Amino acid sequence: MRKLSKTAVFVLVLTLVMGSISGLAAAQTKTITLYHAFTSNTLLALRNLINDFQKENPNIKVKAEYVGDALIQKLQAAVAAGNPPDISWLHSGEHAEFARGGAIYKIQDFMEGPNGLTQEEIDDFFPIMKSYMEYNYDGQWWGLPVNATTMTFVYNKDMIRAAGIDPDNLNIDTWEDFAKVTSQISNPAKGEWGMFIPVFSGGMSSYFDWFFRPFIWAAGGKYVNDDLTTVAFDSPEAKKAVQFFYDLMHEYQGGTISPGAQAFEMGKVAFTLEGPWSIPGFNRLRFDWGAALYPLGPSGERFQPSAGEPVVIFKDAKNPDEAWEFIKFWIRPDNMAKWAITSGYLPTRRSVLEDPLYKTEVEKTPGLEIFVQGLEYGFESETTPAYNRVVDIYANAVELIMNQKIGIDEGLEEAAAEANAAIAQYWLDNPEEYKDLMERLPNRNK
Amino acid sequence: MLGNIPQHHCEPKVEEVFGVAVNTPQRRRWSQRTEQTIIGYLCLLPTFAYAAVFLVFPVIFSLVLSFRRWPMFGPKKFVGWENYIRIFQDDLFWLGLKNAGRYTIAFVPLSIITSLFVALLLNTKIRGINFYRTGYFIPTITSAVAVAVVWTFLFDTNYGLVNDWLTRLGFERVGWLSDPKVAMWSIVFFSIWRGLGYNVVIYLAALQGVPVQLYEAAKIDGAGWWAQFRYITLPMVSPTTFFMFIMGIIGSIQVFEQIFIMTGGGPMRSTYVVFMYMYDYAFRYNEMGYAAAVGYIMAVLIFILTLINMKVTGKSVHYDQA
Repeated sequence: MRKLSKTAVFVLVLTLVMGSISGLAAAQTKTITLYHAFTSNTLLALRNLINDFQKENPNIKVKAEYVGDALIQKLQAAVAAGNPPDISWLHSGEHAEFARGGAIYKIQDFMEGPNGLTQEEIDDFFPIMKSYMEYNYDGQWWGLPVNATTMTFVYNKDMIRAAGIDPDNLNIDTWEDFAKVTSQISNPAKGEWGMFIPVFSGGMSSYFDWFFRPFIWAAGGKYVNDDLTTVAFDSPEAKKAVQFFYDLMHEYQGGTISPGAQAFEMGKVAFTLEGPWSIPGFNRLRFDWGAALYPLGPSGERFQPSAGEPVVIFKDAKNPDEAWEFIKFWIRPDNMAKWAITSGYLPTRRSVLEDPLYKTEVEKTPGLEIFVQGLEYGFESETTPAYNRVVDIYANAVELIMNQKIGIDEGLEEAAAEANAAIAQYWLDNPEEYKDLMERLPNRNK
Repeated sequence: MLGNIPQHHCEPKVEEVFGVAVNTPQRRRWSQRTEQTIIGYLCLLPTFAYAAVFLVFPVIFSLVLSFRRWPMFGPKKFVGWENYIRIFQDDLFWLGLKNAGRYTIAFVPLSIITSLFVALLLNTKIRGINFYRTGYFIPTITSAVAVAVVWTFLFDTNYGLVNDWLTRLGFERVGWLSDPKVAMWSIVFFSIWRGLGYNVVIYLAALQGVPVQLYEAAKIDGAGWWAQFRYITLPMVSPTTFFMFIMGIIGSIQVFEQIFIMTGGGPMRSTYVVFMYMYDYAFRYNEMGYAAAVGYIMAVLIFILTLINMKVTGKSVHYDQA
């Protein structure tokens, strides 16, 4: 009887101790919520990432919520209700509005905090990534980039070989070299062209803007002037970019603006512009393909389109420190390598390229290395007031020029006048935004 | 006063409508008529609510919007007639109006002629008539976006089926959607094809309403096929033609979906219609107030056009029934 009761007491005590330990553990488990709009491969990458994270951090539970296309509206509503997620992924540039509204933490404070990143780690991000994380020009990190993307040339090696050029020793270093190569490949009679020049207006003009603006920079030009009140795409330098594509099409007969759907895939154009998202589909191509960086412009410089997508931490987050822990895990080179391989996005840090897993991926995927290299030539795009309006006007002008409906000088000058009027109206309507921008402008790159 | 009029002659009793007695206590709280009225309105309530939320409210709210600067984000303020003045000063608005006008002038007559022609064919007694009738109606009930995407493929300059046939027959390729001179005609063609089913059904109903005696009498008098069509069919279906004319104009000026999907307003703004302009300002340039003002200008314009139609065209419509 006494023995029994001793055992009973022991069991009782043990139960109590175990209970309090597990209770303690339960109290320490914190849940962070993450909003995203990832689908298919990226969603898979996110699941893997969260699994890996929870193996290392059993006390932090990550709850991922797919919010989809209405992400911004949902976030606005959640912020207004004082109940935002801890973390959200955002499209490139979308954090500015939340930063202006005071809804997100300046993530730089976490980066420089006790559990932060070393200067070496911060410098490891591709330089262009930082400018995407700034809130306008303040030179501070407001989000941390997890996805990078770019566009560059991809080419059909078989078509190039058929034109008597060695595709593995292409000389397309300068604009002129590039125009000559495309000219040699083109065979208008057979409906075959050196390059598809994607001049899109209307709803697609922002796409056109993204790939085309680097050509203006490479010519030494600008799209918008520094004080953000007038466009600069009618300057002599910026005109050179349009002149280049005009000549490529009409002098060299090297390209077309309307090759038809799927022209690259069907072997009708040798060069086209693509993003890394197209790489998986290229497995099905019936020809060898390669990728090449943009040629050097008349200024002797090279620029590539680029973008970085941030994750941000909300001010009303319930567990901001745990949220930071997760983001820190996400951007760790070994994790980012897995993330990039599965999702198909490009890594945002250079050291990911040294990761053995990513190295293998680069070796077995032709062209991927060029896309990643392209990030080195990313350039901060000028803030463009009345953005859609202005890029519509410009794209429409370039379309008219390429179709020889109007001269280059006349077309671009008329477009500039129209765009300047639109910008003037925009600043008249949004004086606060202008003031805010101008206050930040001098802080640039501090 | 009204309560004294015997009502069962003109209005069904509640019991008759619902099949069972509804709330018939010993002593009526309200007169029968009041009760009927209340129940009637209660039955209408869902529809009223729908109309109020989705029709009346937007109409009033967009009028308020049209006098304001109303970005999606940022400060909103009253600007008086400024939106309207800016619209009238914008060349792009006039271009949109011109293109919508071009579309309307081409679409409305062609659409009416085609549907009347097809309806006449479908009104004959041939084998498998139901198959044809169904066939013509399918495009109308298929999602506009889906069929527009399909036609975008068919119209592709280099790989589209249409050009494939043309080149087989020895013709040159046509830039159906990429040639600024042709693109609007392709849109018109698509719209006629898509709207055909609906218009044909209306014409069929009208044709079947024409009394057979008229044709029989005409035949006895020696009228041929053309004379019968010209002097019987055409006048007898003229109310339908008039209806389609008015509805066609109202619809065409607002053409949007197919252009949005198939050309996006291009090439070189040759299909940039006024509703594309409104869409751009509302959803791409984030100027809701400005877009609302465009909407109101269009509403007034359509109202005036319809009034003119009623006065001018309405005169040649025969409403007499045999």
